[in-house]
Amino acid sequence: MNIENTSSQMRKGILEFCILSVIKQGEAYPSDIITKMKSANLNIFEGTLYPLLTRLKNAELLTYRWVESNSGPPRKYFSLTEKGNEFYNELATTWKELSDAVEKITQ
Amino acid sequence: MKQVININYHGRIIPIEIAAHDLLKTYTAGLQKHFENEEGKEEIINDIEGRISELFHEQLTKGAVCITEQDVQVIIKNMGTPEDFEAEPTINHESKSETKENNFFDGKKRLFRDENNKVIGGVCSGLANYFNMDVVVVRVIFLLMFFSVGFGLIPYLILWFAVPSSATKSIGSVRKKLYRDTDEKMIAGVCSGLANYFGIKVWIVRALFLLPVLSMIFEWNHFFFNVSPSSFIIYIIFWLVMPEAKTTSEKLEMKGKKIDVDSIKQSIHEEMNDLKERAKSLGKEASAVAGEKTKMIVADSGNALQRLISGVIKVISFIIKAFVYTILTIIGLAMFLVLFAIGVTSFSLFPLKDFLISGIWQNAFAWGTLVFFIVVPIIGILTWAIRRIGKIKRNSIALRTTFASLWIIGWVALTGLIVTLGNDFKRINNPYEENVKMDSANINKLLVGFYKQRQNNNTKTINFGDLINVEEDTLYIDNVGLKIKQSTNDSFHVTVKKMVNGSTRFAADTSASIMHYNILQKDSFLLIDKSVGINKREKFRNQNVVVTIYVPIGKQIQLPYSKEIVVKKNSEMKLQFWDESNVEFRDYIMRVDGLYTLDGKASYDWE
Repeated sequence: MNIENTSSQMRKGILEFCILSVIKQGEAYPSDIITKMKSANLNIFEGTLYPLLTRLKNAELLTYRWVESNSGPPRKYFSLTEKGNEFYNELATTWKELSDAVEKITQ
Repeated sequence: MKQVININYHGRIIPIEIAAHDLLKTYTAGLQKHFENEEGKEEIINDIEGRISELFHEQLTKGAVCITEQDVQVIIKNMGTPEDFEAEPTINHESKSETKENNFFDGKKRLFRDENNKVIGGVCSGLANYFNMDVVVVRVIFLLMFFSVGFGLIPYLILWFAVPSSATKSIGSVRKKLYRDTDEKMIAGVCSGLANYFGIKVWIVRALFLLPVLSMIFEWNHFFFNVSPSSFIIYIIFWLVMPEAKTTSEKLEMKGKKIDVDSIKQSIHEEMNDLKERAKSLGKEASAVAGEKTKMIVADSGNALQRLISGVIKVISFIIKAFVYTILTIIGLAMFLVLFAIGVTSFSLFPLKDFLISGIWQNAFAWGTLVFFIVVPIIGILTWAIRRIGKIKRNSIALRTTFASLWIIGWVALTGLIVTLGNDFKRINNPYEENVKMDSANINKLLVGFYKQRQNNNTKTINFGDLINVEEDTLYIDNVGLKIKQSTNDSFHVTVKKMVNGSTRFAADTSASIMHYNILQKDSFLLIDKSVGINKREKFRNQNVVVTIYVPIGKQIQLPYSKEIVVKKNSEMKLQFWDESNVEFRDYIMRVDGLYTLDGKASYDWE
């Protein structure tokens, strides 16, 4: 059994949830999201974040607007859609149940 | 020594080592391959590249002279390679298919111009993407539309302006920007700027602008046909719309060429200024956030009703705003169209100017009206629209003030023109009936015909509708009326009454005395000219003529016949309503109690 792989599998499942929670706190620019995740010791490559964001956006969970920046071209700022909010709440409930369960089991 | 090139990478000019650039290219190619089957692949790669460009920019802001291979390696390490992504968490396949389903049901795609597969503006390839069609089909449709009706161009241009670009530019491509090149200027650097942009020789552009002007100078007779003031106006619009290339980096963007050490220094300097501004805006943001917090507290303490009310107010104000904006836009558009129509009309009426305007003042007012009242707002609105579309914000206030003051001059000129012209029409002359000499007044039947004065067929004639014609230096206006009355004795006689306006009774009388109007009379024929001739010295002052034919009792008169025209006793019949090609004639006979047709019916409207 590959430990690397298992832990990465575990992280995989919660990544989406984490991204949504960061964005739920307020409009976010991708590098903000990375910074926040890193500060919580959750390291991901930026290169993985962009495809995830695009997929979430295509699933209409996220939307973005262009914000002019002082330096160079405008940046994409992401925020949750109505649907994204619902989805987030569902995930939050699932997460709560799961973590409670895991906590009880691992105690 | 390592070679450095400049690339325009996602809207930024980046000096980069060739080796670093190669590495970057390999990396991007790897990404392309990795995301090959991914929906929204373009967007993902675009986002990643945008971020890389931002990181480059940061590096340069920190003081790096150029992007080195090592910089790129660090960035790649942070972004992750495709191999890293494999190990990294990705969304599982179930949710991916769900994504697809969602897209299928909503069918919401965004329309972009495809910069990667473009021929002109990427409109066709963008549409092809959007409708899932082959781009060739779309192009053919546009071409057919263009060549069959000349109609394809307009939607293409509108889409070009209105649809956002996908902005996916491949690495190393250099996006040029349109600037005025004041280093190479003749007037304002418009031509040289355009030449730079399109990469052609400047004399070609100059020639294109000059040709219409030259044709105006060398072919004065054709003035009306050849000269549209368009090239002049287009130049001015370009002048106003194109920003001047002031800084070195702007000049480089204009030419899309490499940067030397000096210009890098320059751009770093600019960047520092930029940084200061950003620091300032950061301070502003902080205070804004603080404000937001207090607001939130207020909102929390306030009850739901308040929130509801504020929500309703927001919605209402939004609706009102949208409404007002729509109306303003419509008004603006309508004004533009009206002005444009007036502009075109006044240019087409240009040959008439000399027949109407007299004296220096009127001429000055007329030109002032044309230029400041009509052309200036047209240019102004066009400029505004183009700047809006192009998001150019420089010097907006100065421009607005200039346009507004020029337009005020236009109003003054218009008022002056109306007042001075109105003054010239104030009085009418003292009209009297002039007798036309008759060859033989005692004929039994007078044959009447209408004709239009024509010089010879070689001269150029310009027609304004059917009523106004200009031949060389004479203007002919169909402003002749005909009256038929009962003669008091047993012979025909014909009178002509000339009428003209002027600033004073005397001036009007003088104009009337020199007014030339001819009636041809021979044997039993009477040929009446349908139009009054006015030369450039006389000016148009509402000249008109009434011809009265007195018919003796028991004698006949033959008139051209037209269904709509009735022979009236006292009011005049305007000759312009008779078709010139009309060859049908009708005979009338004068009796004691009025004019009758030969079969004994009283002529309509003749008591």
